[in-house]
Amino acid sequence: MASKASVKESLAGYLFIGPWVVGFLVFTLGPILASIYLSFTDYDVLNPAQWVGLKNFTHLFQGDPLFWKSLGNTFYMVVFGVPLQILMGLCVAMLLNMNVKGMAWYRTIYYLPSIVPVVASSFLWMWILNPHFGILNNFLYMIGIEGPGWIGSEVWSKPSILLMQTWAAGSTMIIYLAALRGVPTHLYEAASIDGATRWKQFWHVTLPQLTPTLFFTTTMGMINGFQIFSESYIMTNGGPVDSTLFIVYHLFNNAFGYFKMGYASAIAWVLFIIIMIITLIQLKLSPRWVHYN
Amino acid sequence: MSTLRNRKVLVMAVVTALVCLSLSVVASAEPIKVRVWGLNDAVPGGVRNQIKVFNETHDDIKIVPEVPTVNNQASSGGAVTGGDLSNMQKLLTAIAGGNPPDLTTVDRFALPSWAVRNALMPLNDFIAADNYDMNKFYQFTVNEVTVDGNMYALPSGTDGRYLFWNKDMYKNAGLDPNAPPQTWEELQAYSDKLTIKRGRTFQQMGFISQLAPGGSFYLYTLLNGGTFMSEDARSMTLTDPKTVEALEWMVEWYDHLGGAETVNAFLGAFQSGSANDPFMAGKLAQLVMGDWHIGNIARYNPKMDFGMAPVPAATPEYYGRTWFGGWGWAIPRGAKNAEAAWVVAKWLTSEEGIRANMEGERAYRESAKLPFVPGLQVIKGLNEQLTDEIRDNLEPKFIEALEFRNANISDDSKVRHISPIASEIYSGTGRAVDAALYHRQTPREALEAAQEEMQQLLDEFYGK
Amino acid sequence: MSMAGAKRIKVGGSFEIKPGKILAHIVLLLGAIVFVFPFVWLVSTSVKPDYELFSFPPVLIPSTFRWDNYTRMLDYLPFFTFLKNTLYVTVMNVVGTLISSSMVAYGFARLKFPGKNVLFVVLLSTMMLPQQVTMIPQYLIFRNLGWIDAFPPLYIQAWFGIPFQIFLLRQFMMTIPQELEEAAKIDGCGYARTFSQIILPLVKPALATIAVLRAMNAWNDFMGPLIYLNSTEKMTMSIGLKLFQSVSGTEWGMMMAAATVMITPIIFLFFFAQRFFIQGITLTGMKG
Repeated sequence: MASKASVKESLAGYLFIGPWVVGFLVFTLGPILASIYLSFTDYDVLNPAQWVGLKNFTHLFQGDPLFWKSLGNTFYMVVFGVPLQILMGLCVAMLLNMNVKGMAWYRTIYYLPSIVPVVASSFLWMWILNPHFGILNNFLYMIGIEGPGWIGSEVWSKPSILLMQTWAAGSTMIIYLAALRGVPTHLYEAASIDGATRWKQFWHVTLPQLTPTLFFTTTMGMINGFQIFSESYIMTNGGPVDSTLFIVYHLFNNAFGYFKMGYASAIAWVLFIIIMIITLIQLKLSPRWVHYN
Repeated sequence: MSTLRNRKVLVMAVVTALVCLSLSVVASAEPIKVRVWGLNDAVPGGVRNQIKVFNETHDDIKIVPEVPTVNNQASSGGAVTGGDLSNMQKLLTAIAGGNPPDLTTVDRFALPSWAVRNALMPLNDFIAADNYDMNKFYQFTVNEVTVDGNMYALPSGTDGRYLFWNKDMYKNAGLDPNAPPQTWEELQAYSDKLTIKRGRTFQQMGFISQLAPGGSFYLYTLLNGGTFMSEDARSMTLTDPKTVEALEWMVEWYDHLGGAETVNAFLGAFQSGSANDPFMAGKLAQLVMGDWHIGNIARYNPKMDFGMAPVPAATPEYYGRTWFGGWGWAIPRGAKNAEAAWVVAKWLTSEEGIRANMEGERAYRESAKLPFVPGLQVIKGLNEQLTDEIRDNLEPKFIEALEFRNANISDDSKVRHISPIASEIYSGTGRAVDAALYHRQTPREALEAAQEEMQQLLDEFYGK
Repeated sequence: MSMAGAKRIKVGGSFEIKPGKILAHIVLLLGAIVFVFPFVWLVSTSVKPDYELFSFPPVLIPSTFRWDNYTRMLDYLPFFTFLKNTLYVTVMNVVGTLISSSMVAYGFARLKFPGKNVLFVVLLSTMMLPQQVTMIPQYLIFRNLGWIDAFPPLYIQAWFGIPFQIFLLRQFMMTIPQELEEAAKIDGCGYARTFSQIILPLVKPALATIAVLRAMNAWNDFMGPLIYLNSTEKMTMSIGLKLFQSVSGTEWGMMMAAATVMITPIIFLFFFAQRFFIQGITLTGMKG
C-alpha cells in the first residue's frame, strides 16, 4: 500500500511537471508523430504524402553515400568537439573563478565571442583564417610554422569549425561558473587542513562537486553536437569536398532544397535513434560517476 | 400642396438613393490588399517608392509588402543548390500551412521545381485575357518561366557573367590594358604574368572564377561547346566529351595555380560580390563575376581602372557565351487575391513600375552620396535608355561597362538548365567539380558518377 | 525553530592564488585580448569608411571614424520598432522560462512519482529531433491557434518549460542536500513553499544562468521570426541585420553599427547578472 505521503508526493510531482507535460502534448507530440509518419512517405510538402514503406530508409542505407559521409563528419565533430568544449569551458571558468580585482570585466570580455552576431563573427573568422593574409597563419609564420589552408582545406575545415566553436564556448563557461560557485568553501577548508595540494583539491573536491554539471554538459554536448548545422551553413556551405557536410545540413538540403521532406524525416529519425542510444548509455553510466550530494 | 408633398417625397427618395449609392461606392472602394513577398520596404530606396507610386495610382488595389527578408534580386545563383534556402523554407512552410502570399518573387532557376509540384498558378489565362504582350521581354527569360507550355511568372531582372580585369595590374605586368584574353591559352598566359607568389601563398592572383562550383563549371562547359542536358531536358549529358574536357581544363587550371586547396584558401577569405572582395582589394587581376559587380566597384573602389569583356573560351567559336540568372513574380497556389496579384505583377514588371523603382533608388543614393548604377532589366530596349539617363553621373569607364553589359543580352542568351531538378543538378555537378579539383576522382569518374545519379533522378521524376 | 541553532555554512568558494596574483592577471589579460577581439572588430567595422572595409591587412583603427553609420542606421530601417519587438519577445521568454522551467525541474529533481524516469527521457528526447522536420507541422498548430504574424510562437514554449533549461536546473537542484528539505518538511512546509523558499534561493546562480542563456537565444533567434513573422513592423533585430543586405550590396558599416547596438544590452545584462551567479550564498543548514 502506497503511503499517504507518497501519493501526495506523486500528485505534487505531476503538478510541478504539469506545464511541461501540457506543452509537450499541445506543441511537440503532434509534430513528432507527424515526422515519424512522414519518414515512411514521399512528401514534397506541396502535395499529399504518399506511403512508400521502408523505401526512404533503404535508400538512406544503400543508395546515399552522402548520408554516410555526413554521418562520419558529424561523429568527428562530436568526438573531438564535445570534450574540447567541456575542457575549454571548464578551464576558462576556473580562471574566471579566481579572486582577482576586475574579475567582472574579465568575465564579460570572455563571454563576448558568444554574443557577437554570426554575420559579424563569420566575417571576422574569414580574416583570421585566411591562409595567405590571415592573422593566424601570419602568427604561425613568425614562429616558423607554415599554417594550413584552414576552411579551404579538406583536412582542416572541421578543425577550423572546432576552433570557432571553442572560442565561443561562453555558454558552457557560465554554466561551469555557476556550478563552481556552488562548491561549499568548507570542503576546501577541510582539504587544505589535510594539506592537499591545489591539484589534489581540484581532483578530490572540485571535480566531484562538478559532476552533475559535467553530466549535463556532456549529455547536452552530444545532443546538440550531433545536430551541428549553422556553422557550416554560414561559413563553408558544406565544403570543401563535403568535408563539412553534417547530417542536419544534408537533411536540410533534402527538405528545403530538393523537396524531399519524407526522406529528410527518415534521416532525422535515424539521427534521433543514434542520439537516443548514446544518451541512454550516458544515463545508465551516470550513477557510477555523478555525485549529487 | 400635393405637388409640394410629391416634391418632398421625390427629394427624399433622391437623397436616400444618393446616400445608398455613395455608401455602396464607399464599400466597393475598399481596395483589395495584395500581400507581396519580395519587396523589402524596411529600408529606403527603390522599393519603397515603387510601393508608394503603385498605391497612389491604383484606387482598387493596395500592395501590402511582407517578409522583407525575401530579397528580390539579391544576386542569383546561390552557393549550393542555387537558391537561398531560408527563403524557400519560408515560402514552402507558408504554402503548406495554407497561408501563402498573393504574389511572391521567385528565382527563375528554381521555378520549374515549384511549378511541376503545382505550387504556382499558371498565368496563361491572365495573359490571354489581357492579350498581354510577353514579347516585350527577352525571349530567354520567358523560356525560363515556361514549364510544359504554361507560364508561371513574369520575369523581372537578370544578370550575366563576364570577365572583369584590373587595367593597372595589366600595365604593371607589361600587358596591353585594353586587350583582354579571348581564349583559354591566352588567359593562362596572362594569368601567369599576373600571379605573384611568396612561397606557397599568393601575394597576387592572376585569375580565378568566383562563381559557385556548379555555376563555374556550367560556364566553362558552354565556353567549350558542351552541354549538361539534352535539348528535351530528359537526359543528362555530363559525360559528353566537351563537358568532360571543360572540367579537365578546370582541374588543370587549379593545379597550375597550386591546387584547389591553395586557391580556395585564397578565396575563402573573401565574401565575393561585397566590399570584402579580392578584386577590389587589388589582390586579384582578373575574375569572372556577375554584371552586378559594376555597381560594387562604383561604390567600393571607384578609382579602380577596370574593363569588362566576355569570358575567354576554349576556341574562338564559343567566345561571347555566358549564362544568365534572374527572378520573376509568381502567384502561389492558394493565393486569395490572384486577379489583383496579376495586376500588381504586371505593373512591377512594366516600364512604369521599373522606373518607379529606379527613381526612388536614384533619389536615395544621391541623398546618401552613393553612386547609382541601374540593374540589368529584361524589357527589350530599356537598359539602353536607363544607361543613357545616367550618362553624366558616372565616369566613362562605368558607362562603357554598362553599355557592354547591355549589348550582350539578347533574346537567345543562355540560361542554366531548365529542369524540375535544376537545384539537384546544380549541387550535384558542384560536388563533382569539387571531387575532381581536390583529386578525389578524375574529372571523368566524377562526371560519370554525377551523370548516373542525376539521370536516375530525372528518370524517377518523369517515370511518375 | 530549528534554525535557531543552525550552523552557518558558506557556499561559494573561490580559489585564492596568493603568490600568483600577478601571474593570474597576465594569463587573464592574454585571454582577454583573444576574447575581446570580435567585439573590437565589430565596433571598429561599424565606424570604418567603405574603402577600409576591404583593405589588406585589415585595419583595426579606421583612418576616419564614421560615427554617422549609427545615425544613418537609425534612419535606414525602423530600428526602434525592431528593438521594441525583440525586447518584448525576450522578456516573455525569460519570465516564462524562469517560472515554468524551475517548477518542472523541481518536480524531476526532488519529487518521487511513478514514471518519472521515463518522462525525463521523453523530455530529453524532444531535443534529439532536428527542428527542420517538425517545423511545418508546428506551423500548422500555430496557424490553427491564429498565431501567424504574431509573437506567441516565439515565446509560448518558454511558458511550458524549455527542456535544456529544465535539465540544467534539475542538475543543480539535485545537488542540494536532502536534509534541507527534510527539515522544511518537519517545519510543516508544503511542496510549494519548499520549492519557493528553500530550493529556489539555493539555485539562484543557475536561475541567473538560464535567464542569461534564454535572453541571448531569444535576442538572437533568427529562424523563429523568419518562419512566423510576416509584416515589417513585427520584425525583430536579428531579421533586421539581414535587411542590410539588399539589391545594391551589403551595407556593412550600418549593419555592424546595428549589430553593436543590438548586443550592447546583452553585454550589460551579463555584466550585471553575473553578481547573481557568483554571489556566495549563505544558507542556513540544520543541526548536524
